[in-house]
Amino acid sequence: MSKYKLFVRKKLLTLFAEAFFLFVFLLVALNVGSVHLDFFQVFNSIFHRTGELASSIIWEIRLVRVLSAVIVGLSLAIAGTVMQCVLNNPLASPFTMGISHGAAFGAAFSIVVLKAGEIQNSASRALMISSPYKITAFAFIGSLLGVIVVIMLARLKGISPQSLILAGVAMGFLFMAGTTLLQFLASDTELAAIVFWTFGDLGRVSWKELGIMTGVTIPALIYIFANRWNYNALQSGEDVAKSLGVNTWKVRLTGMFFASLITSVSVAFVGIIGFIGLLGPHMVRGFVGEDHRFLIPSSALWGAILLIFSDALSRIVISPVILPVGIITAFMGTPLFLYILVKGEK
Amino acid sequence: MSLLQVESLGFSYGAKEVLKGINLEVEEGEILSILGENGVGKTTLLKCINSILKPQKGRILLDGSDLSKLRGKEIARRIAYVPQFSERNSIRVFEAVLLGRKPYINWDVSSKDIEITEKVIKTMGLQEVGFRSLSQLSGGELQKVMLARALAQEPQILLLDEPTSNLDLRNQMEVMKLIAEISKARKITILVVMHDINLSVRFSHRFVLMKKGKIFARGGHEIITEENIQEVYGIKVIISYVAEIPVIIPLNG
Ligand SMILES: Nc1ncnc2c1ncn2[C@@H]1O[C@H](COP(=O)(O)OP(=O)(O)O)[C@@H](O)[C@H]1O
Ligand SMILES: [Mg+2]
Repeated sequence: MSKYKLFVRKKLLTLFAEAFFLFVFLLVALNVGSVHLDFFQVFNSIFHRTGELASSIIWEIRLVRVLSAVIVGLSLAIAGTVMQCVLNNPLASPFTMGISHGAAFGAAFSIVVLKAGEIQNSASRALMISSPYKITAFAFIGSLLGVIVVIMLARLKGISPQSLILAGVAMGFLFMAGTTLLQFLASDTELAAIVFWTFGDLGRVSWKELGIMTGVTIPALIYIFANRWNYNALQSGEDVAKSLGVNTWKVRLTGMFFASLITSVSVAFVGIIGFIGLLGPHMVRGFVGEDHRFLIPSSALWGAILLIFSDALSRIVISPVILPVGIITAFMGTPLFLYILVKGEK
Repeated sequence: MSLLQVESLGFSYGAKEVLKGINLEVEEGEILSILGENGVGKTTLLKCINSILKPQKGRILLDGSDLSKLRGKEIARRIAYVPQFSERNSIRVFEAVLLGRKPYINWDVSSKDIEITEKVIKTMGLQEVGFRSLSQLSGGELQKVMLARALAQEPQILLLDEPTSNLDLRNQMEVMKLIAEISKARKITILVVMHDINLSVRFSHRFVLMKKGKIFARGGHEIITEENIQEVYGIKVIISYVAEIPVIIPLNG
């Protein structure tokens, strides 16, 4: 067998291993929660949806929560992978470039100004989203505002990768200030909804919203995966990519567009969860390398695993209090961010 | 008809006019050197010929068809380009060369693409480093990888921008010899920007001397005269023969 086939086989093996881990984590996460269910009950409930308590806990709470973690985790990781490539910047991700904050601002705006959702004090779900499409659309508009600024800055001659990230962080602050400003205009119930937003929480997604997230995300992912060879070409520099027949400007723009689309749809329903877009791709690069044929699916799977893990952790660290999952991902992501920053300085 | 025809080409970066009225014919299979001072527009000319930059004036004909009407992919199957400075990222040598198959890939690489890549890697003597990352290569190896990627495109025309400028003496000779061999064996036409006139004179069939964004002279070895070089580079030289090889020696003052 040729050396290259072996080389590729190793990467495929990594992908299979990740898929296997994802499956295991899924099962484990279904067993974690404030109500104790044994493994048999969990297993049984997955296949028999009845009105019993165990079944409703699994179907109404845990399953939708875990599957949301999968969709959001892989979305954010892929958005990070694409942004790092098209912006040619290892620190780029939806969170560090302020795009998540833009989406959160858009979503908050739609709630306060356009009355697209409110908090209900029911036990099962904290947030009632009366018009999920509106919130998604506004989250997307907000994220695009962030993207436009980022792209204009990236076009500036001589802007260093570090400065670009700094600008992204500043944009994040600005959007956060905007979101805070909206809080002063909000009613109590809306206020609770907005506060939730900035702290990322997987617990308020219902099947309907999971459906919307999946419906938007899957086509975007297919588009991104179809562009994997273009992303590979971009890595060799603008001129080389062009000489290989790549329409670089179009690939960069559409890449940013779809990365912010999948970011916004997850931010719209679960709020800001930071650093998955950095952790996902960077933690798998050592195993699968820079080839986007493998890097994209591999970071996606890893992003999903990380988010399931973080979410489960957030439920058990100081149980019964549920920590916002964004806190857990920040604890993991910030050291990595600093490491890349320092390494890039050399 | 010439393989490549450049007709009264003009290019400006914004308000800065860089190329003016460039006319050029390139014949199949020849090695054509482009010589001139730094900043005269050599790189810009190569980029126009590869459609990386779109010229504002004139046109470029490839086998008689207007370059600006061809799709990027079609151009990439016929013209390959090795820039002066290459990105030193951490992709592997094999992956870097395989990328040369990009213009032929629809959904994914075929076994033919892999075969061609393996062959090119062998031709360039890169088997040893085939799975090393680009960041761990010597300057000479990196330049060969870039050449290999360009060859994997199976082009008719190869554009090389100062392929030897970052190499030591031995690697300079090695890379130039490889280029000459490839050109001969595969009938690939080569346009090469050279900053080392001596090296250029030894390996090229024809020359283009550029001055102030225009072509000052073009032709065979007969145009490499002391007067022309003095005009183009603004420095006095004498041409002497050492072991029957012409050597251009700059004089002081
Ligand atoms: N992207 C650019 N924007 C503006 N001016 C440029 C750009 N690239 C090159 N130039 C200018 O165009 C002229 C020709 O550059 P170039 O083609 O790189 O010259 P050469 O390769 O002969 O050294 C130089 O004066 C250079 O400063
Ligand atoms: Mg140059």
